Amino acid sequence: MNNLFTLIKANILNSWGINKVIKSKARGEKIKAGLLGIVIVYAFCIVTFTMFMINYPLGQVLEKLNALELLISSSILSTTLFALMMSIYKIPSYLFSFKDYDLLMSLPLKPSAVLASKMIFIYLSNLLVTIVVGIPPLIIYGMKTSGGVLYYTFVAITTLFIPLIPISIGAFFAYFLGRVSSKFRSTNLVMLIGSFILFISIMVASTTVGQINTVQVQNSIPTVTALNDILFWTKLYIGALKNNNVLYLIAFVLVSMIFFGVFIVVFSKGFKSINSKLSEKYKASNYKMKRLTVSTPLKALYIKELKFYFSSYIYVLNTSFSVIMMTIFSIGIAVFGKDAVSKVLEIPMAETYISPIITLVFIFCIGFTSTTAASISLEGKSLWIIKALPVKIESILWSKILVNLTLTVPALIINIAIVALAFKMDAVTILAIFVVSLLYCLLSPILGILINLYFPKLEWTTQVVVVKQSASVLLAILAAFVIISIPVLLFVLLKLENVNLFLGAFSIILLISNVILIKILNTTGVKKFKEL
Amino acid sequence: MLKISNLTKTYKGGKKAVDNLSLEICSGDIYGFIGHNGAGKTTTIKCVTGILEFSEGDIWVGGKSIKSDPIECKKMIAYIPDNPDLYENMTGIQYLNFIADIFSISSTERQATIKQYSDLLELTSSLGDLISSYSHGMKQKLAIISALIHKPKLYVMDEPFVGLDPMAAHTFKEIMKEQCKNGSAIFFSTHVLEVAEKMCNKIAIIKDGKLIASGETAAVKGNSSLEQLFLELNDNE
Repeated sequence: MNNLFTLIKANILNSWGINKVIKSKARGEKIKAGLLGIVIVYAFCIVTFTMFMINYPLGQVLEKLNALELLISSSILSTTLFALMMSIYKIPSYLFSFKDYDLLMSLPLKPSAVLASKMIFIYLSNLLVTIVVGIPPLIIYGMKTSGGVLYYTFVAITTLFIPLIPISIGAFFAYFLGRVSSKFRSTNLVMLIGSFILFISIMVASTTVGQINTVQVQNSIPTVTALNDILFWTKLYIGALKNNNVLYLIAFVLVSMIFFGVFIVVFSKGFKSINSKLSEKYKASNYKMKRLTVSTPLKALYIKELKFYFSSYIYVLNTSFSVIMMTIFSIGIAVFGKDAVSKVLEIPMAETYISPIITLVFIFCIGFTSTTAASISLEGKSLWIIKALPVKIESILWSKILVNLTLTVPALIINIAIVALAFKMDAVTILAIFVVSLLYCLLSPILGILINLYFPKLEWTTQVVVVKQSASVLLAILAAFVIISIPVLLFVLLKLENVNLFLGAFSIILLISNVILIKILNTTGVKKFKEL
Repeated sequence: MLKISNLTKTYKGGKKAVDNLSLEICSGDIYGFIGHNGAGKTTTIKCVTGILEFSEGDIWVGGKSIKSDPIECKKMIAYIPDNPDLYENMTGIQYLNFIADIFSISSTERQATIKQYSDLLELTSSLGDLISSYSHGMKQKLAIISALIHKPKLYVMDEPFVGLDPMAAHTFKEIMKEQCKNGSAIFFSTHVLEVAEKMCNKIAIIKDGKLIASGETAAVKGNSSLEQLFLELNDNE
């Protein structure tokens, strides 16, 4: 047990950079950490507020339908699906081929202790999300039913146990994918395809659940009940909170713990062997010298970046998903029509505003494809190579930006072609969507790399720490939100009629922003890179 | 070939890792850089190669300043780090080709050099495998071959023999001597005093960031062995 706590502590110190904040004497580091703390708290407040805003009207509707307990269903189903998605994202990088595997396995530790420490670390990060997503509907339920101290005590206890089953299921999928992919030469590709299939399946399921937040609540009740039947433990949870039933509470806690415990015991038996297999690299040792192709330095840097990108499971999964969603959106519009897509995504698609809404969806997806926000950090211990090379720093930075453009620009062209055909758009509209989106394609990676230069994280044990949890990635996402929100607010507030004129004005602002950011990249960006 | 003038490198928090260090290395020199752990060897080497920026002093490579003309300086340098953290997702040959592209080496020339040295270091058959499958020694050999690709005028190496098997270490020493005969200079740090004593025509000893002895090996060590001198200097200071 002592070992387990030591391992969890080491994981937290290593991954969350706590030591850097506490021990660092540099004032800049403390200010950076303080600012990041404010941003995280702000983001949590925004998500919590949004959850309240979504659930409050839902509570009103459910009260009229005399089905208030569906708020508890909404809470557990949304946290379960969220935790499941997060787990599928994160677990492969935490449980397989992690950097400290050799170190930990050389120590007198049971594989089950190592596995449990990794799983508890995943649990802790999921718990925060569970609180933010799951608590607001429960508070609204408490307000509507005048829940007392006992109710809120039950809420606090059950919240602690909610993530256990979803992360165990997520880990099971990851284990299964890991086992299958360890038998192939291209383990990453198998893991990626498997994860994308799983992830899209969950997204489809969650859009069905999402309808409990709409006016068609009544029609959604059978779907929610069916989901509660499949995810049987959620019924125990609902039973515990609905009637403050101690027996249901104990049953929910026990089922969650048994599920998690059984997973740890069973999986720890294969934990070492699967990691050993995954760490065995394909070796042919039969290379014969042949003619080598020659590239320019910039092209060589770009190819190196591209190779690295596609070699990293978590990097690809985290950054290319939005591009895939963008394509699904466009194909959805072309095949099912705008009304069907509008209904599923809950976004208005009035004929007059179709071009700004499509542009908004496109730039939203592009904003979430920022590969550059983690690209400097991912150099990690190999940073010395590019720093020692006789190339301009600008070339190094642009090679990383080009990788981002390789993902977004072709996808953008294809998607614009699809929606242009679907809506039979005129040339001016197509041009307007293309110019705005293209300028944003450039702005997003430049901003991402600048943020990463200010907030680098070069010491890491697993890429997931950089790709999903680093300050620079969080800030890049926040920046994308802000950049997207400003024109949306302006458009709504100014009640503009001429959409092409609006897109034109927006493109001029983007163009000016790009020029300024390129200038900053070539001056401050280069300086920051030198300081790394 | 390499001139370090009053180099001072101060880390965040105020610690001087290198303090007013000056030395000069000429073509044909094999210059050993000796010091205990944390003495400032790696920091000096990283400043020379342009990896770290420094606050005071200057470094000149072939008459050019690393501060004002880093790219031209780097073109003349080859760097081999103490722990070869290479691009693990690349194969050996892809990594070498990447380095050759950066230094704009022609296809025929890079092929010939890679073949020559990978045969010598017995790495040719593994060049098609991922670097992540390499042992520490194999990575070290790959780093050595990548350093030789552009025929640099100055080799800067941090503990280059760590991880090499005796055969590879011997071959590498022969390569170093051959490069110096051809007019290159070698500046390397080592903890193996015997190697420094036998190979280097010049040595420098660093302690707590300050140079405490430097010059022709024979003159610096006098009648005592390098080991004795090193221990004495570290005790006396």
